[in-house]
Amino acid sequence: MSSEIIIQTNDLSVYYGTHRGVKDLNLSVQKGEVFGFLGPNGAGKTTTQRVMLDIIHPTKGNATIFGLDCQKDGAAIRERISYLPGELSLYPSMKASYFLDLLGSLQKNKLDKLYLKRLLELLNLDPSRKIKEYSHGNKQKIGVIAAFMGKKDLIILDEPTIGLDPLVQQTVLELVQEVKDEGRTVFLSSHNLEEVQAVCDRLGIIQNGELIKTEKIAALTSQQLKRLEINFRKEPPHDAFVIEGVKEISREGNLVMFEVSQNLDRLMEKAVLYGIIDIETKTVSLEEIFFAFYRSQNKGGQNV
Amino acid sequence: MFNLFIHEIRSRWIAILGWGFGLILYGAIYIPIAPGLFKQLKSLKGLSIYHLVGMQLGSIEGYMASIILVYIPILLGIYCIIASTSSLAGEEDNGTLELIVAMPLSRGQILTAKAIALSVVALFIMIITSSGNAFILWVIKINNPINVTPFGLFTALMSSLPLALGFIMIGFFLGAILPNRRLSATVMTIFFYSQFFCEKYCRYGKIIGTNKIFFSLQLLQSYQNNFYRWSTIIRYHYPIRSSSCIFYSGLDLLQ
Repeated sequence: MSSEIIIQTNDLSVYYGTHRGVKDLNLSVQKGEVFGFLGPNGAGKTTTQRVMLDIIHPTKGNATIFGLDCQKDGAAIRERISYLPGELSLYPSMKASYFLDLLGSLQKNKLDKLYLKRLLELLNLDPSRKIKEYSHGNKQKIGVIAAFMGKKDLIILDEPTIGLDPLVQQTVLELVQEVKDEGRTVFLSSHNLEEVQAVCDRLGIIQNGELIKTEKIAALTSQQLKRLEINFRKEPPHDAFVIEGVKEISREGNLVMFEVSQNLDRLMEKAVLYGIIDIETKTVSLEEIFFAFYRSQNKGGQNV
Repeated sequence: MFNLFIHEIRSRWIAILGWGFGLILYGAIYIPIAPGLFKQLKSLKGLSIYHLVGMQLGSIEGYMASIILVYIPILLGIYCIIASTSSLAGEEDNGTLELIVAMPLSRGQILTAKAIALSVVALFIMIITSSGNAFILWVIKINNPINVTPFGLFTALMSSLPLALGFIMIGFFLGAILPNRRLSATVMTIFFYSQFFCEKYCRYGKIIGTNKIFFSLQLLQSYQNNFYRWSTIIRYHYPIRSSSCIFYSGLDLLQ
């Protein structure tokens, strides 16, 4: 991954009348990075992408891609970007092959037909039919192919695997990995935390239009929540582990489950007092970390 | 941009044929009955209701001017409303515009490609319609002495193109500034019919020189001039300039 900045937003704010789209958003994405953009519905993910593509204009601040201003140099930027919208709408009476050719012909660079053929084979799509005859999943495949076929420097994907079966989802993630291996950049907006965890290098979490956390996936999963199941020799009293960052989440006799975000050493110090027969460390999924973020934000507390 | 232009035309070939031949059918119904109606039409010459709505049915030429040269441009105008509002506002409603806007084209290029394509579509429709109607007139003239030439009818019908272009540009403009296609089509339709009826009342009592109709295109010119009198850009009298002005105002707004 290079340190060259591909996407940069500076105090980016978008308001739809009085409704907030995004507020004072500052994020940067580096070259060769797969950046996951996570947030609940209405958080401002699509709004951010639309500003990047110059589909809408910011109320305040700006966004730059490849060092160019998204509003002033929109067309020049879009020469190097491909985009898969979250709510994909296609021309129903058009054949998929014609649609892909049309999008290819609107690009400045000539389409690599061999690569397109490979994508069609990988996603197992027959493009000879009219779009209205395809299932929802197959329509999504057309969108995915359209996003990848141009071999652009930056690919913006909004919920790329929605409506796809698990096998095809895996193929799409492999394509993202391929793009990353080639040193190109992917901005991936998703609800699916597993896919974000699988392919992204970094994650930005957005809530109510504000970016509340940007972190490397590895750091997020390793430094944050841990879950410990300790089998004690004798049952500890209920108030034995009142430690900041340690939460008892279940108890069955001598078997106690803890969720630990900090002060693991203090927990161990106290645990040995009751004798430890066995300790099992459970993996905490990104999803649980994600919800922990939102819980802490909604309580007005600090990030976990 | 050229590929988008070609796509816009290709996606409308059914409309070109449908509207083109549909408008020939209109002529096929009303032109052949004209010679048989001549005596009855002559007796209607003084009927004030026809003056009120701007018709001049006392001669074959007047009949052609009132029935063919007025209503075919109006029907074409309806197509222009449908096509121009669906081209921008309709695509936005359907969500397909997002894909096009994400392409490496500027707003101006997208609008220009779509506007030129629609203008070419209107041109194709009018070529088919005008040729078809001229052919029908040519067939009718074989056995009936009619003081109207097929070429005269062809050119008179073709001269409604600036009007069609004007409507296309206004449709684009409304499609760009109004939130959805339904609203822009509604506003456009109200505007269209308002100017039509206002124009009719403006002409109340005016006797049109029907023998000049195919040379001066007076009927269509008065129709067009009145249309632009009701538009916001009064200073431009030449229809194409007005159309361009409206189009580029919309473009400015979008940018």
